[in-house]
Amino acid sequence: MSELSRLFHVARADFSYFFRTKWLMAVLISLSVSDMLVTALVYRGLMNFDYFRFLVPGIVVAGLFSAATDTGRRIWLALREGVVQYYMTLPIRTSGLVVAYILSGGLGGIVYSSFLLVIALAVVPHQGIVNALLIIPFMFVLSTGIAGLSAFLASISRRGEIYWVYAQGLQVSMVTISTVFYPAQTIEGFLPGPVATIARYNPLSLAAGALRDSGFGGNPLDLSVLGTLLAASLPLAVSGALAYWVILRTIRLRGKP
Amino acid sequence: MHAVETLNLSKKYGKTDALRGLNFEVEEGEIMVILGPNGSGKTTLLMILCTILKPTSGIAKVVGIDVAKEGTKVREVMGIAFQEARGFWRHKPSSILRFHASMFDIDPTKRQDLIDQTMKDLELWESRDKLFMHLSGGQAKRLETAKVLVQRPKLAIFDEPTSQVDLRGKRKIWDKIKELRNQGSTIIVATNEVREAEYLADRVTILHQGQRVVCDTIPHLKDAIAGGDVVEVDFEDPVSARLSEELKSLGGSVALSPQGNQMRAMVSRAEDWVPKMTSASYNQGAKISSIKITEPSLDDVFMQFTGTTLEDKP
Amino acid sequence: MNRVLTLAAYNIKLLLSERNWFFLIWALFALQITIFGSLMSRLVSGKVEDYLFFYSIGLMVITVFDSGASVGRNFVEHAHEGELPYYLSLPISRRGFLAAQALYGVADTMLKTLPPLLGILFFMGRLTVLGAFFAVLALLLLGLGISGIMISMSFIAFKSVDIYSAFIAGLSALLVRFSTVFYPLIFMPNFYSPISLLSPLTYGADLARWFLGFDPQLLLNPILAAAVVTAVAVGTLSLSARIVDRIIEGVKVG
Repeated sequence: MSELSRLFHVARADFSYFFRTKWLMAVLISLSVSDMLVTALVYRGLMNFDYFRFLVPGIVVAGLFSAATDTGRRIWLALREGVVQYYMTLPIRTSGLVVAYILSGGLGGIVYSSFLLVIALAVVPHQGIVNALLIIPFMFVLSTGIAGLSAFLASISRRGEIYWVYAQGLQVSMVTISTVFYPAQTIEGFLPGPVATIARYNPLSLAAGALRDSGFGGNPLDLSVLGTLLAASLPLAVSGALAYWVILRTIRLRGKP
Repeated sequence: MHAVETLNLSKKYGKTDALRGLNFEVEEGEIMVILGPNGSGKTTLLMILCTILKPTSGIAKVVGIDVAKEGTKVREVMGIAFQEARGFWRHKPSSILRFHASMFDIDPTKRQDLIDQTMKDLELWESRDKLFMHLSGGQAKRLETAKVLVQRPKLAIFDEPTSQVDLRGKRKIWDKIKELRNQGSTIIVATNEVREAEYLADRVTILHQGQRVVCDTIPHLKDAIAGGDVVEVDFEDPVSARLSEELKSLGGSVALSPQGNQMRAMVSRAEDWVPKMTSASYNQGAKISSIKITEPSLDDVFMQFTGTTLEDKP
Repeated sequence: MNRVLTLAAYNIKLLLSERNWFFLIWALFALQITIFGSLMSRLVSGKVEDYLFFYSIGLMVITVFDSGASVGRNFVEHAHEGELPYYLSLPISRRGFLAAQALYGVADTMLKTLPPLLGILFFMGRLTVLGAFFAVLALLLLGLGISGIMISMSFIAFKSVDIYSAFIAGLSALLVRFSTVFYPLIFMPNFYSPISLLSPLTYGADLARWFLGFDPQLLLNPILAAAVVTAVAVGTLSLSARIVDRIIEGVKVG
C-alpha cells in the first residue's frame, strides 16, 4: 500500500469520527437549520431588506466554519486519549499524518456545508447553481485553512479548557467580524476602519459574498475574490499543519506534547 | 542479525534518566519478556522501538533498521499493543481492526475472516457492536492485543498485555501470543507480573532504573541465584536473636519475618541445609511447625539481582 | 440541613476555583453585545426601538439557559462517571441532595449573569434596584426550570449519554430559536408564534424585560409570564425529584 493510500485511510478514519459524534451532529444541524429556517425568516420581518436571502448563504459558510474547527477538538482528543500515539506507530510519515488530519478537517467542513447548501438552494431563489458548484472547491480550500487554524490552536493548548477558550476567541473574531450576519456597509458605518477592512478580507466574508453574488444572485464569478479567498486560506492551512507537525515531533522527543 | 538490538541507548525526560546506556538484544523468533517494576524504563524502551519516542543518544535497531533514522520502515514491520488501549472512541471493534488491517496491507480477501476469528478467539465477538468508548477495560485491552494478532508483524510488542484482564482472558492472550511466535513473529512482552513472565518467556531481561541488570532464560536465572532452593520455615514462637545469628551462619541468605516466627532462606542445597537448621533449632529449644522447600520464583531472581521486589518503587 | 449546605458549599467552592472562566464568559458576552448586538440593532432600528437593550436581555437569558443546562449536564456526567452513586450513598435525603444541586445551580447562574446584567443596566442608564432585583428573580426561576427540564430528561442518558447530549443539543437550539430571546413575539410569522409560546425562554425573557422597563407593547402579559415561569420551575423540579428517587435508584417508573 502506498503512502498516499495510507494517508487517505487515516483521513477517512478521522473524517468518519466527525460524523459519528452524534451530539456534535445534533448541535451543528439544529443550529444551522434553525438559523436558516427560523432566525433568518423572523429577522426578515424586522429589516428593510430581504435578510432571509442575505443570511442563508452566510449560514452555509458559518456551518463550514463550525464543522472545520472541529478538527482542533479531534486533535486535542487524540492527544488526550493517546490515539495520536497509535497513529504514530502506523507506517506513515509524520508529514502524512499531518496532511491527513488537515485534509479530513477540510472534508468535514465541505461535506457538512454542502448539505447546508442543498437546503439553502431549496429554500432561497437562486440563479447560479453552476456557479455555486464551482465555488465548492474554493470553499474546500477555505475549509482546510480553518481546519489548519484550529489544529494550530489545539496544538498550542495544554488543556482542553484552554482549547475551548481559543476556539471561542476564533469564533468571535472570525464569524462575528465578517459579513456572514450583516452587510459590509453596516460594518463600515459602525466599526473602526481597520476592523471593517479585516471583516471585508476575512475569508468567511469572501466565501459568503461569492455565494450570495454568484451562487444565488447569478452574477459571473469574480475570480479576484476567489483568488483572494485562496490566498487567505492557504497560509492558515500551512500554519496549522506546521504546528501539528511540531507537536508530533515534540511527542517523539519529550514523550508528551 | 538480531531482531532487535540497542547499543548504549539513553533517554532523558528533562533531568530524569529513563534509560541509561541500555544494551539489549532480541533474537528472531523468540519471546523476550522485559521484567521490571513501574518506572524501570520498560515502556520508554518500547516507545523508542516503535518509533513514538526518539532516543536521546545511542542506537536502536529493529530487524536491522535504525528506529531514529527510518521510522516509517520500522513501523511497516512492527506492531504494538499499548499498555493503555488506544482506539477510536466512536468506532466499533471490527471497524478499528479493519482500519488497522488495511493500514498494514493484510490481504483484503482474508481480512474479514481473520478479524472475525481473532475477535472470537479473544472473546470480543459479543462486544462487536459496541463502540470502543463503551468497552470495559478488559475488553479494550483484548482489542489492543487483537490489533497485533491481526497484523502478524515481524516484531510484535505487548506492553503489559493482560493488565485489567480476568484470569481466563489472561490465559487466552498468552496462548495467542505464543501462537503468534510459532507463526514466525518475534515477540517482546513488558510486564511486572511474574506469572506472565514465567508462562511466556523464552528469555527474560530484567530492567532496573533504566539499565539492564541481567538477561537469560528462566532456568538459568534461577540457577544463578544463591544455590537455587528456597526453604520456608514456620516456628511456633518468635526465634531468639541467638538462633537467628546461628541460622545465618549456616550459609545462604536468610530473612526473618517481622514477627520473628517465619523464616525464608535461599540456600544452595536444601537437603544439606535443613538438617543443620533443625538441629540448631532443637538445641536452642525452638519448635518448628512446618518446613516447605520450593524453587525460587522470578520475584526471588529479581530480588537477588536488584535488591528490591517487583512491587517496590524503583 | 448542615449536610445539604456542606455539599452545596463543596460544589460552589469547585465552581469558584474556575473563576477565570467567569471572566471569559463575561468578556465574550461583552464582545457579543458590542459587535453583534450593535450591528444587528442598526439593521432593525426601524422596527424595534432600543433593540440593543432587547438583545442584551435576550443574551442574558441564553446565559441563564446555558447555566441551567450545565447543571443538568453535570448531573448526567456525575452519573456516567460514577460520582452519583457516591453522592447517593451520603447520609443526606434525596430531596436534600436535589436542594444542594439547586443551590449550586443558583450560585452558578448568579455568578454568570449578575455582573454582566448590572453592567448592561448601568451603561444603558436603566439600573434601578427594584427592576434589577425582580429581573434577577425571574432569571433565577427560569434557570431552575431549565435545570429541572434537563435533569428530568436525564433518564435518556441511562440508555445512552450520546443520545442524551444529541437530544439536549437539538432541544436547546429549538428552545432558543423559537423563543422571543432574539425577536419580539409580534414579529414572528404566524406559523412560528404558537411554537414560541411552548418555549419557557419566551416567558422568562419577556418577564425579565418587563421588570426592566421595556416597551410592554412588544412583550407578553407579565402575569401570564410569571405564572408560566413559576409553574415550569416547580413542575420540572418535582419531576426531577421523582426521577432521582425512582430511576437512578433502579426502580422503573410505572
